[in-house]
Amino acid sequence: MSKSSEDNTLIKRFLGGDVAAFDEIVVKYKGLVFNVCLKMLGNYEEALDLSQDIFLKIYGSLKDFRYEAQFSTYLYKIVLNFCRNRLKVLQRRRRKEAFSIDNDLATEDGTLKREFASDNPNPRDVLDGKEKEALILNAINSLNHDYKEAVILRDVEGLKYEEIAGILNIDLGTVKSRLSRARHILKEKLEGIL
Amino acid sequence: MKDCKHIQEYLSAYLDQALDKEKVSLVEEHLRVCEVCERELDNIRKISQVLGSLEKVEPPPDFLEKLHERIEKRKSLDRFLRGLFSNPGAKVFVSLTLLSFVLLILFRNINVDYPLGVRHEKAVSRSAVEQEKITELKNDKITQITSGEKGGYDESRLPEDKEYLTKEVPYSQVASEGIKQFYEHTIKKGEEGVSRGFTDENKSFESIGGYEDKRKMSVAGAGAVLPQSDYRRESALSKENYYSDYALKIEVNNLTEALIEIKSILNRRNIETVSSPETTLDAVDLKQPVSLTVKVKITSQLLAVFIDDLKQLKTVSAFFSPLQTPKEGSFPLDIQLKRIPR
Repeated sequence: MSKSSEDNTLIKRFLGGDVAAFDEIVVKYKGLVFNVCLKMLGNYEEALDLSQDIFLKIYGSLKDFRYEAQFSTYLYKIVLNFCRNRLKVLQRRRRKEAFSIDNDLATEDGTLKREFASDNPNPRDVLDGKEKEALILNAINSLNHDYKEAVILRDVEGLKYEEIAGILNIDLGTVKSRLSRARHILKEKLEGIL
Repeated sequence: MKDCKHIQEYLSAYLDQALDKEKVSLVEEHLRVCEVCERELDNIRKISQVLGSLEKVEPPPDFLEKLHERIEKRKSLDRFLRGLFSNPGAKVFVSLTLLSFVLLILFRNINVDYPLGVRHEKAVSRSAVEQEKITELKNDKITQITSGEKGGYDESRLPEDKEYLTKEVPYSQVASEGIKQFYEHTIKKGEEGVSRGFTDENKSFESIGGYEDKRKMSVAGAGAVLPQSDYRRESALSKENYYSDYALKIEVNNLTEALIEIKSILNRRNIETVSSPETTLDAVDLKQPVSLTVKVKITSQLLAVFIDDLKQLKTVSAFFSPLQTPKEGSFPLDIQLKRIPR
């Protein structure tokens, strides 16, 4: 049975009242959903929370699924929509919480100079060999949404150009140019570690 | 090299074998002779490989369990809402609560307006200039009364009036008390038998003279231009009512000019004038009173003709004629002119 028809069978079983079929869908796709969220948001907790939101949404809206498209395409669309919305919320929250680093932090025991974590990876991460990966994730995170989506779908998820075009609802030419631009920016940022 | 920038735009798609044949040969030809672009392609390949080799992070083992909890919570909420709306009593309660919220929001900023007939009552909260003018008029009145032949009123008897005249009743207060209550309040004041000349009708009345014995009745009218129905009610309260049963309210830009024009129509149409203010009175605009009253005797037919004539006047901006008048015979009519700022 192909991957696509396997998904359709699970969906039909679930809509027929077999709740266990939904669990199978979750088990099958939770890694995909969580990892795309993680790359898009760059934050473990947020990615976890959003992944749950996404499956909760799917639980309620699978009855509207049209079998014309692949379930994975439908899933990627939902994931990226949720990511876009969550990123907007996070950006607004960040703007609200913004403060001047010149202002001392008031505490019960007096004022403290504000200190920030260094951008450099900590020694433990280096020892773990994760320094490179952290830098790569930072670089991905610095891309704008459009480039980030394209490069994650292509290079991280390994999707074909046509699939990316379908998920993002853009034409092939735009996929090519977004990918080219995203890879060029990443190359500039990561030149030293490649 | 000149073509490098152009070629480098294709390298990403070339790497993914997403270029058409023509462009592939173009890129390959260039790469054979250009080391820079060759290195660029190599870098892009490395970037792509690095991204592809990023470690896949496993979601925590209790992912499904937590999802089940959230699904259960959602189901409970759905059940609660469904239950709420399936119970007719609860449905009514929720609907009424929502409705009251909607009404509260809708009417939060809307003030109660007055019916057309009591438009003048709104002027209780007048502008400072108008208020000053009223006080001024009132003072004029006091002078006239005290110096009048049959005066009998002296200023010492009027402190309450003075306060009443100069005291502004906030619009909101009037609105909340309601028109009826405010009206009753003014009647009560009038019944105390103190002349107060609340509005300019009294001034016009005084300028006519000869009605001193009815002054108290004019006070009972509380100086307000009342709606027709209220006039009748007022008639019941005092048999000798100064006001006629019918009033034609006219809004004008310039009282003096309008008065001259209206008098001219009255003459032309042979309408009997019972009393009228002097046309030369307060000719200077700023000294003009806010309103004047001309009392006439008229028939319904003549009133219709008079209204037609009024429509032609440029100084008249609006008028409100009595709703019902006697079909036969003549009846007393108050032609009330109110000055509306341009």
